[in-house]
Amino acid sequence: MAKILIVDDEKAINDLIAVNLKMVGHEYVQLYSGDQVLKTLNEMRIDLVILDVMLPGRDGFEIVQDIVKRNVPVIFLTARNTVSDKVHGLESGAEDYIVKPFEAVELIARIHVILRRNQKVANEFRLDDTIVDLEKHMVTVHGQEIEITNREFQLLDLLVQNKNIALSREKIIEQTWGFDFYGDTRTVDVHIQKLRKKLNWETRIKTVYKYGYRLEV
Amino acid sequence: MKFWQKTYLCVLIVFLVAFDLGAYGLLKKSYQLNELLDISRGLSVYGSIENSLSYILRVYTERTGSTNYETVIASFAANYYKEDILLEVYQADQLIFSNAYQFVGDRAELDGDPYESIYRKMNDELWLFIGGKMEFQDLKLVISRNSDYLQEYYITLRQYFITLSVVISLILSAALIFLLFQLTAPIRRLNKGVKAIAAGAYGRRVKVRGNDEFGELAQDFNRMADAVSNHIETIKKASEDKEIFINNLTHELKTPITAIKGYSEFLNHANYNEEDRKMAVQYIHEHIARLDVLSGKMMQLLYLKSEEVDLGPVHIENLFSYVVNMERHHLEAKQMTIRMECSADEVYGDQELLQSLFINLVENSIKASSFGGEIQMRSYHYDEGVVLEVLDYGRGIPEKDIEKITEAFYVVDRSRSKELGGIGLGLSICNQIAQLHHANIQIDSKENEYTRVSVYFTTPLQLED
Repeated sequence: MAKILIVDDEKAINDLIAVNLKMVGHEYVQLYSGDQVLKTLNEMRIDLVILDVMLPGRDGFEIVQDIVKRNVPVIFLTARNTVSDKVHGLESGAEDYIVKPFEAVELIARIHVILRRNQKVANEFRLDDTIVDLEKHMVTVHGQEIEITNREFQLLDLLVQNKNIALSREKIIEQTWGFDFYGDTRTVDVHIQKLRKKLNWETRIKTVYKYGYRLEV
Repeated sequence: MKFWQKTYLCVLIVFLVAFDLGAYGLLKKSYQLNELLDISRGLSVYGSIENSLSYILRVYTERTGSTNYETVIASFAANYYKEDILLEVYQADQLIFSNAYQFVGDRAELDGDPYESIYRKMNDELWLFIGGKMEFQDLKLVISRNSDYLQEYYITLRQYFITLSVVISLILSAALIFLLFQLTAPIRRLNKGVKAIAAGAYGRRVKVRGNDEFGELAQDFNRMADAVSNHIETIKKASEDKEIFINNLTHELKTPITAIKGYSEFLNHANYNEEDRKMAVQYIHEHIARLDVLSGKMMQLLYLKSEEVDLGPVHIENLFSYVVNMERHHLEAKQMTIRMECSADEVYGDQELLQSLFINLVENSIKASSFGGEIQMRSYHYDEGVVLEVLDYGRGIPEKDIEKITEAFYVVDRSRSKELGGIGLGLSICNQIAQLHHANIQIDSKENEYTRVSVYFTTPLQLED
């Protein structure tokens, strides 16, 4: 998976982002000030930078352009929530601007979108005997291609993106069906059942009691 | 209508009325005098004619005994006709001779005794009629003379006055407009300035000099503008401070909230291992503690803002000892010592607030100092009061930060300060306490050498001491 640089002076927040990235299988590097960012970018291949604005040393708004120049996408993650800050952040070349406090699922979804846009994400996901080709929307089990509906594939994609993290039924509906879905959350259960059966993932897709589902890897 | 236009019209109207009334009076009086002169001249002519004619008629009657006076009168009248004096002679109300225009109507002059004068207008010309009883028998004589020159004189004079009034009005207008424009210039300048200020240019001032009412008004207005702009500045500053404070507070609140929310969410949904779980719980505890400290300090700050203090004598050595005792764990942990030097014994203040103030200062010093360092607490008399000082030889404060250091939530080095548990409210609280004591906090520091925080107590109470 991708290698992500986390720049945040609050150790707690930095670790929080790191632990969530670890869950979904990304690699990460942690920095606590703005001064080391360019050095780190020179030393290793970084696919994405999660950047705080208020940093000791050079602040986020100062560094962002140098990072963008190297064709590395940047997501701002900051407590500053004024519109002018957002506009400034996005105008300076950042791909996204997320305001604290943030939701892990949301952060991961946005990271995924950006990585995919920048073609820095693997197209293939393998688990047990199942191979999911995220680009061709193709799923094979034991080398046999199986039939899967569009909706099921979207749901599968979401589970893969957020592997090891529980998704609530509401979140699944929001991400897969969209906000204008008026059906029962039971629809989710039905689709999950179908996926489990088709992909042979009966034990992989765990039910989280009274909450939702989690793909465990 | 503008003020100068009103003034201009008023003055002009008053002038014209006064001038024209005066001119009219003058005209009337002059005409009357001329008329009197004319009449008296006419009377003297009448007298001489009457005398001469009476005499001639008497002589004629005596010589000829004839009563046919007409021819005599006619020849006599002819002489006067040349002088434009026309005669009528009546005998017992019967006209016996006339070379005059015959006027029909009431002939009041015929009843003149001895004579009567009257002006009549005939064919638009003015005639003077003088009549009366003659000495001779019962004859009556009326002379009439063209007095139109009187009317011409009147018209000429009136024309002259009208012309004069027009010319003077024009001159007066020009002079008035010029003067009024000059005199009202300060009003216009005042107006311009006021408009500019009203439009938001609070820094602008009205430029009107002089000691007249306008000058005074301008000065007063400028004074008012000063006061208003000062108030606006104060309000602006206050609201900016408040905004900064709220922004900082929001930021200070957001970090622990993000951490607590994030880690609890993580614990709830993620497929974590034991190590991750410990870390998450640890962070949640830490940030709840941080919120606790923050809310405590906030409460203290808000409480201080609303409080009035009772100042009483506080024994400085006891105060310092108390602070050292309270901080002994921190001091022991870093193997630090505190040296006290008290050359002033007492200070007027609130015991508990002063304890809080110096605990904050000493804690800052402990945080800034390195292992095994020394802190000095001193008190001494200053020319106007008492100074209490805390001095350490720790990290010091960079020069650019000294000014801002008492602002709420300001910390010099965020990441290190967080490690030390600081949230940037300590000095803000100290400052607040100092203000309640009418004391001043002065910070003197050199980076990596020393920091000296001096509290200058200069209330009148300290002076009495």
